[in-house]
Amino acid sequence: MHIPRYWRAQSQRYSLNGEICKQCGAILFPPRDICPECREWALEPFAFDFNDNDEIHPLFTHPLEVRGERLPQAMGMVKLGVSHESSSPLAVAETTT
Amino acid sequence: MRDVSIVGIGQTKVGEHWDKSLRQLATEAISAALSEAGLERADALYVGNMLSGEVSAQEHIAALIADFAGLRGIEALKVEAADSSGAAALRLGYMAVAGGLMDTVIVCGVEKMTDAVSSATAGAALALAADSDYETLHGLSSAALHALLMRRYMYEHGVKREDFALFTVNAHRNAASNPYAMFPRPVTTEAFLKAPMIADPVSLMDSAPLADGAAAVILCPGDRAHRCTTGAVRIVASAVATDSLAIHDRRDPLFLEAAYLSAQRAYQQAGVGSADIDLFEVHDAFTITAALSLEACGFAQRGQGVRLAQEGEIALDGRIPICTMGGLKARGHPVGATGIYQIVELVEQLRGQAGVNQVKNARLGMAQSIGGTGGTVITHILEAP
Ligand SMILES: [Zn+2]
Repeated sequence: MHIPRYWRAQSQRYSLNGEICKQCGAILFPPRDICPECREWALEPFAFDFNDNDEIHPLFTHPLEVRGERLPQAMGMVKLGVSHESSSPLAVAETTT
Repeated sequence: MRDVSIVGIGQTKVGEHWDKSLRQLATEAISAALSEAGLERADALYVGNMLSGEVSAQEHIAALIADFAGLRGIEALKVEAADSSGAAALRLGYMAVAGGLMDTVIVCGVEKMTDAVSSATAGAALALAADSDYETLHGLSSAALHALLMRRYMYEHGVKREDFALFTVNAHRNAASNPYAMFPRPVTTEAFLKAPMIADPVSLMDSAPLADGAAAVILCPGDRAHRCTTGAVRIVASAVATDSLAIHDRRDPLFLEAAYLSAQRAYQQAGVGSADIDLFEVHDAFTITAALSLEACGFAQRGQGVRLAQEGEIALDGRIPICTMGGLKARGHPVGATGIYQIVELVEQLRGQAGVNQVKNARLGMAQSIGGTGGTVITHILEAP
């Protein structure tokens, strides 16, 4: 993958910035601009509360060669922290402690 | 809309065809299907394939295959929908014939995996079915994504890894008498438990092998089917549904919503319910996929998919036989061809030509093909002659 592909996603990848739908309140991560719940435009940035992240079942796996190396890594589905919301979005991520 | 019938089938053995190219495999299946239908040509050729560009450095394969199959000049298009590419090509062929645009259509699914430089590049190619920006980017393979699902399933439903063993045992038992299967031999539960891990809890024995293969069917309108053959099998439902590519984007990662939607649409078209289906070619790319598909299609309650295997309900004489010729696990999974292999096997069953694997009194057969972890799901229901 080329640099612009990483560069344009830096705010979500490195700051984990999502979006919120002003119409129905759905919180979106990764940001996708059109709310999958109500189909309104959802362009408002949303910051997660990282103290609230709830990790779900990590696993160890050998990554694909696109990563350049094949050492085992720990991956998991992580529920992103939203203090006032129970239906917070999931992200697949490398899990480190 | 016109009725659409399948009047010819062809398939190559699934496996590692070191001596055959993609175009040769496709030609073999197409020629067999045309010959069975008593035809020399057709109005169109639709090819289902996922990875020719990535693995064989060859795109534009519909015209290529048309040329090498002796069909130069024919309308020919490739359809891609990850693992469900073959079923997607059938969907296109069905629409063309049902809509009255074409009278005879060849649908061919073909995949040539062994031209990949290594098994690692083949795995990386298959992972293109996932969301590249958010899943593949992390290095997650198809097995790793299904491992996330399987682990969560085991946790939520109180199921153990060994509970999935009988999906594999059933598939291999049925493959043993399928001359086209990649692994025509039985395996034991002990072998399942000893299999090397790919991405815990998904082991080699949970995973369908990537392979080479091609399968083809010939479609024509129902009222012309008698001219071609006596064993015309009618397509009574053809339905596609989609979901997010990424598992984290789904409302509930353990519910295959597209499988549910496409099955519901198919039941509605055919005017039947899940209880009317006599056999089901399930997309068992991983054992967890089989369980989730059975649940989404209404054959089992949520969390009960694995119980069907344990109670023998999926055997040839069970309530809902699956993988009757070996399934993806034991017949093999030539990715973009798999959806057509499922259809060819259903046709054999519904014509009563499945030999020792024959499901008794099979009248309605269903096939479901799943792209990636469930982003595209395509369901067809066929009716016996
Ligand atoms: Zn909304």
